[in-house]
Amino acid sequence: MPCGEYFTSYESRMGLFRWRIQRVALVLALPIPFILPLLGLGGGNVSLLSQMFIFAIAVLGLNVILGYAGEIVLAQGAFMAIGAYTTSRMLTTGAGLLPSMAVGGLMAALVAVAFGLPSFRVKGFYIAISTLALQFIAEWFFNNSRAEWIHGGAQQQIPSDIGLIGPFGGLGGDLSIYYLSLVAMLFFAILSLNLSRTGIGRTFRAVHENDLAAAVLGVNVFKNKLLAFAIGGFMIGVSGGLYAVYIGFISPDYFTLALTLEHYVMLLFGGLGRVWGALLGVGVVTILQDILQSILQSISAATGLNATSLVSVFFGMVIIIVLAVEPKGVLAALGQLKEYLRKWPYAY
Amino acid sequence: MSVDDANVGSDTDAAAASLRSGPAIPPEDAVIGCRDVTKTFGTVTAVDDVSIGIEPGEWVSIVGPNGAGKTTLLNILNGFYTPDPGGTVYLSGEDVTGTPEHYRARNGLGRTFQGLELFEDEDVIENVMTVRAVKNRPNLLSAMLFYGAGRKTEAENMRRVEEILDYLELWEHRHSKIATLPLGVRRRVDLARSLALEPDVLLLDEAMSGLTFDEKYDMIRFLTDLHEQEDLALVMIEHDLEVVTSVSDRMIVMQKGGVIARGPPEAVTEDPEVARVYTGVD
Repeated sequence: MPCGEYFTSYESRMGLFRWRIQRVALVLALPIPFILPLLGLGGGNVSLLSQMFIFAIAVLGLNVILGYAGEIVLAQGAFMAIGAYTTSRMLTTGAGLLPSMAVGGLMAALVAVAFGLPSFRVKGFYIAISTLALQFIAEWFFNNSRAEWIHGGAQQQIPSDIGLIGPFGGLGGDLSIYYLSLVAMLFFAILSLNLSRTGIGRTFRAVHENDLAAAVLGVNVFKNKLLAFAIGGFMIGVSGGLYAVYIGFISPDYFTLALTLEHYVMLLFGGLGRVWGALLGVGVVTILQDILQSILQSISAATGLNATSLVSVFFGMVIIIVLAVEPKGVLAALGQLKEYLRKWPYAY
Repeated sequence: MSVDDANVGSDTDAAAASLRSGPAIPPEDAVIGCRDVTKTFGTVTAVDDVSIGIEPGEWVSIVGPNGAGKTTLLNILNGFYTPDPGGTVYLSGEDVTGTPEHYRARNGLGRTFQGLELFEDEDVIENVMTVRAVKNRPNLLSAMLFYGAGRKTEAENMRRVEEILDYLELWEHRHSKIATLPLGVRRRVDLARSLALEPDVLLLDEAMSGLTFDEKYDMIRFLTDLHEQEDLALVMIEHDLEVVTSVSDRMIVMQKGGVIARGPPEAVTEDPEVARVYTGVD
């Protein structure tokens, strides 16, 4: 009688949850976010978790461009804004949320590809500057009243009576946004995991690690970079559309460089290039940020000082500490701890 | 001077002339070849009017002192450098002079690196799988859904990669990170990676540099098997003349960017001009 687990096919060996313990954990953990609101989770927590799921999609998108393909983009806010404003405009046509978000994602992907074009000749710092320019252009564009015929106005109220597709599957209240965001996040997380374990993700990483060797070994470096921009841009755009519906109101002030910084903190905290790391980073940083906001608001109320602006200082400190202690993020640190415990009391 | 001496002299001259003739076959008919290729960097001419033609299934070694232009020639053949105007590169009869390196790699040109250039953050199997994905890549949708054709392609790639790792005796290292491996194993990983493309011709840039005697023996064994069993054409830059003369069908000797001799190893090594280049003695 055999002991242990054996893989009898290549497909089973490449499975996402290939070990029995992983499948058990999945079955036990997956229902939790679905039943949490039914167990009396407060409205504030439902809202916080919804924001977490939406940001997770955007950070997964950033992970594709930065973590997989190694392209530094500083236009997270711009991509989300493009997704949000496009979704808002589409919703006014009565298309429904899913088609509107899809168009928002496609528009963001298109712009991401356009601003990724310089990667044909330059990389690293220069691409970062190119995308930073996009961030400032987007902020100027969405604040510009003469471009209202395109974006529909800087400040926009999102219609409340919208369906998922056309008028069907009406969305009502925070709970439906919560479940929609949760399902969308799970969908994009699985897509990201699949991308990572297939040839496309591998060629992205090859371009990231050694683009010269990758090219000599047959990888079309430029095409792969643009593909990463397109996939990541799409995910960030969809996240922007969901964010618009979640808040119910859009303004360029929600999509500034500060948002980019926030998402960088989340990704770097969890671990660059790792889907689980991105999700962990979003979760931990969002909760920490929420706790910090409460404390700073109390301090502001007690002292009359504007202490809430210190949140940016917190993000800056998190980045510095993570890069100094474990540049590969918390997930890598946990992996090292697991290895240490597995080998204990031996060193190797 | 006797008639015999005169005959010996004319034979020697004829042999020397044959060593300094053009390519063995026209570059246009070769599996990989180039015609009238020159490459200058500023005022330095790294490759000077070189024409070569490699036959399918042939093992050719390029030798010469440091700075002779051997690696630059390889870089021109694989598209890393573009030759100066007037030079042409052919791959299986196709003029590929203006094509990028990835096009040539996908059309049968493999390459190993003197400096290895492995994907250091990945393990052995991922290094080879990455290159295999170029040869046999799923479409975006089926890859992202990991369903249908995408799933089958990945499974087939994994099967093929495991065959390559087994062939090169890398099985026990398949899950090891590159950084933890000794040089001999890393050179084999580099070879495995290029084989994942199933090339018609393989360019080897000092594939035995830095190896121990045993590691070099293993590498020669693998290359000989590939050459004989798979009919793979090999173009090898190598400094070890003992290795070169034992395994090569032909040798090309380079000096100061140009070809000074080419032909069978035994004829080339006996050539006084080649001896002068290597020993510095007239």
